[in-house]
Amino acid sequence: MKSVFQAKSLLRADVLVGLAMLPIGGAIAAEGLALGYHDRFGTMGAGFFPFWVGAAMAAGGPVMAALALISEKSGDGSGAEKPNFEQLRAAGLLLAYGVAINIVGFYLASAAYFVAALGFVAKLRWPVVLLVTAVSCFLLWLCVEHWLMIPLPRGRFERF
Amino acid sequence: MMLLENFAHGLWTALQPINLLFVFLGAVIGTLVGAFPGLSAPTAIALLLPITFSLEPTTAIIMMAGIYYGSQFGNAISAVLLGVPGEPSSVATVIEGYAMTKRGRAGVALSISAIASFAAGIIGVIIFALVGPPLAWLGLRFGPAEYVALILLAFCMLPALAGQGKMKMIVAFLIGLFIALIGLDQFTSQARFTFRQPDLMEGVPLVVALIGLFGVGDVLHAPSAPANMAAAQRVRLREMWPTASDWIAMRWSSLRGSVLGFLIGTLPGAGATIAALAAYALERGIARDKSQFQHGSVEGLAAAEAGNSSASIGAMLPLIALGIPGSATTAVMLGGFLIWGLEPGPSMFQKHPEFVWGLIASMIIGNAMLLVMCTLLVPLFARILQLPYSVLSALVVVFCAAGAYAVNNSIADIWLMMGFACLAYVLRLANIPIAPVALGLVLGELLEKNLRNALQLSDSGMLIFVERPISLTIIVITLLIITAMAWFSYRRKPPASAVPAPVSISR
Repeated sequence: MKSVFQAKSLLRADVLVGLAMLPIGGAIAAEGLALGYHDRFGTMGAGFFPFWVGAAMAAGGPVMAALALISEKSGDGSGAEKPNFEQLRAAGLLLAYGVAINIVGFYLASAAYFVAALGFVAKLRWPVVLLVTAVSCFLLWLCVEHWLMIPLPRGRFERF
Repeated sequence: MMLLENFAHGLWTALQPINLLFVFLGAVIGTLVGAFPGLSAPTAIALLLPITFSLEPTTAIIMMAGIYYGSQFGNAISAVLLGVPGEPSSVATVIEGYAMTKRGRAGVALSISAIASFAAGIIGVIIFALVGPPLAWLGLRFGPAEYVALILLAFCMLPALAGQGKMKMIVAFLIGLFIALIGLDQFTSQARFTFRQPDLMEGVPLVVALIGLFGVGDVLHAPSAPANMAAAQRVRLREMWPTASDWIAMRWSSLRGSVLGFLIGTLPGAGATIAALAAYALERGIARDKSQFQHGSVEGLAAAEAGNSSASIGAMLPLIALGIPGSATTAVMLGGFLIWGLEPGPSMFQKHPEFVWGLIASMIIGNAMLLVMCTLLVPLFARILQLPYSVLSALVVVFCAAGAYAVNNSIADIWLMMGFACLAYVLRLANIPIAPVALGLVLGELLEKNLRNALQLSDSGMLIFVERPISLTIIVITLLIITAMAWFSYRRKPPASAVPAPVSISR
C-alpha cells in the first residue's frame, strides 16, 4: 500500500517538475533571444548559450513528465516524498535566521537560532543550549574575526 | 642518475628542521582552514603571504605548499563528517564519504581520504619529477577547442553522478548550467538573469551554491537524525583503519585517480574539481559492482581524493615550468614567487634547483605529515559525530552561513546559500539528483567561455573541433566511451522481475 502511495507521489512529482520546466525553459530561451543570439561580428552573442540551455530545459522537462506517465513503474526511481511539518519548520527557522542576520547581526541572530533550534525545537536541556550557543559564538568570533580577520555583519549594531 | 641526485638534494633541503617546522605549520593551518566551509587554500595563502616575506623563499614556498595540501585534507573532513563540501573539488567526497559516515564508518572514510591523498602525493611527485616539463608543454597546446572537447568528455561523468534516472539527470544538469549563466556576460558585459540585483552581477559564487545545495540542503531535508546514521561514533585507533577488503578495493582506484588527477591538474583552468569528478566517474564506469556507489563506495572515495590531491600537485607544474598559474591557489603563489625575486619559467629547474627540488620533496613530506596527523586526530574529529544530531545540524547551518558570508563579505551570499538549500530541498522531494546540478555549475562557465573563444578563432565554424589533433583525439575518446556505455547498459539490462528495490538518488 505504501509503495503504491510512493509511486503515485513520485509520478506526481515527476510530472509537476517536468511540466514546470517547459515555461521556465521557454522563458530562459526567450531571454536568450532578447539578449542577442549573435553579436555584432556575427559570432555567438550573450544570448546564444542561454537560448540553447533554455530550449533543452523546455524540451527535456516534458519528456521527463511523459516518461513518468508512460512508464508502468512511474519513472526511474523512488523515494519521492511530501514535505513534512519538521522540514517546513526547519525552512521557516532558516528564513527567520536570514532575516535576523540582516537586522541584529550575525552573532545575535546565531545565538537566537541556536536557542530556537535546540531549546524550543529539539527540546534539549537549557544549560546545554546555553553552553552550545556561547561556545559556538565564541569559536565563530575566534576563527573568522580574530584569526582570519573577516568582520561578520552586526546589523543595526554595526557602530558598536 | 641526475634525477635521483637532484631529488636527494631536494629531500635534504626539505628535511631541514626549519623547513619541517614550516611545512607542519602549513599543513595544520591548511587543515583548519579547509575544514571550515567556504574558506579555501587561496584565502589562507593570501592571508599568510605577508608572514612569509621574512622567510627564505624555499621555506616560504614549502609552507605555502603545506597549506595547499592541508586545505585539501581539511575539505575532506567537513565533506565526510558533515556532508558539506568546503570546496567544489570535494563534491565527490561528499557523495561517498558522507554515505560512509551514515553507515557508521566515518573514521575509515577519513583514513581512506588521507591514505589516498598520501598515495596521490607520492605518485604525483614521481610523475612531476619524471615527465614534468614535457607535460607542461603539452598543457600549453590546449586551446579553447581542446577545452571544449575535454568538457564534452566530462559530460560522460553524468551517469556516474546520478545513478538512476537519465532524464532527471539531464534536467538537473541543465539547471546547473542555467545557474552558471547568471551574471555579466564575459564577452559583452550584458547582465544575464540578474533581476537587476547588483549582488548577482558577478555571478553565483560556486562555493556558496555548493554549501547551500549539499550542507544546508541536507539539514532542510532531514531536520531530525537520519534513521541509518550511527548515533554515536566512538572511533578507536584500530577501528578507524581500513579493513583488508578496503585496502584491496582502494589500491588500484587510488593509482588510477592519481594519474588521471595529475594529468587534468596540469591543464590551466581545469583544476582539482574536474580531476576529482573525472577520477570518481572513471572508477564508477569501470567498476564491476556499481551497487556500492553513492552508498559509501571505498573505490569512489579513494579515487576522488586521489584525483583531488594529485591535481593540486599537477597544478604546480605549469606554475613552475612555465610561469602560468593553473588555479586560484597557484595564482596567489605566483604573486609570492615574484615578491621573493623568483621568476618561474622553463629555466627555473636550472637556475634554482634547490628551490624546485626542495618543493617537490616537501610535497611528499607534507603529505606524510598529513597522514600522521590524520591517524592521530581522526578519533578526535569523529567525536564531532557524538554530538546530538540537532546540535550538529544547527552548527552546520551557522558555520555554513559564516562560510558563505566570508566568500565575498556579503550578506547577499547568505541569502543565496539559503536559496540553494531550498532548491536542493525541492529537487530532493521530486527525487532529482543534486550532484549533476553541481557539475553543471562547475562546467557551465568553462564551456561557454571556451566554446565562444573557439568559434571566434575558427575560420571554419564547428570544424575547428575536428581539425585540431588533440581536440579530435578527445572527441573520438568521448564517442567511444558513450558507445561503450550504451552497449554495456544494453547488455547488462536485467529482466523486469530482477530489478532490485530502487533507492533514493538524492545526491
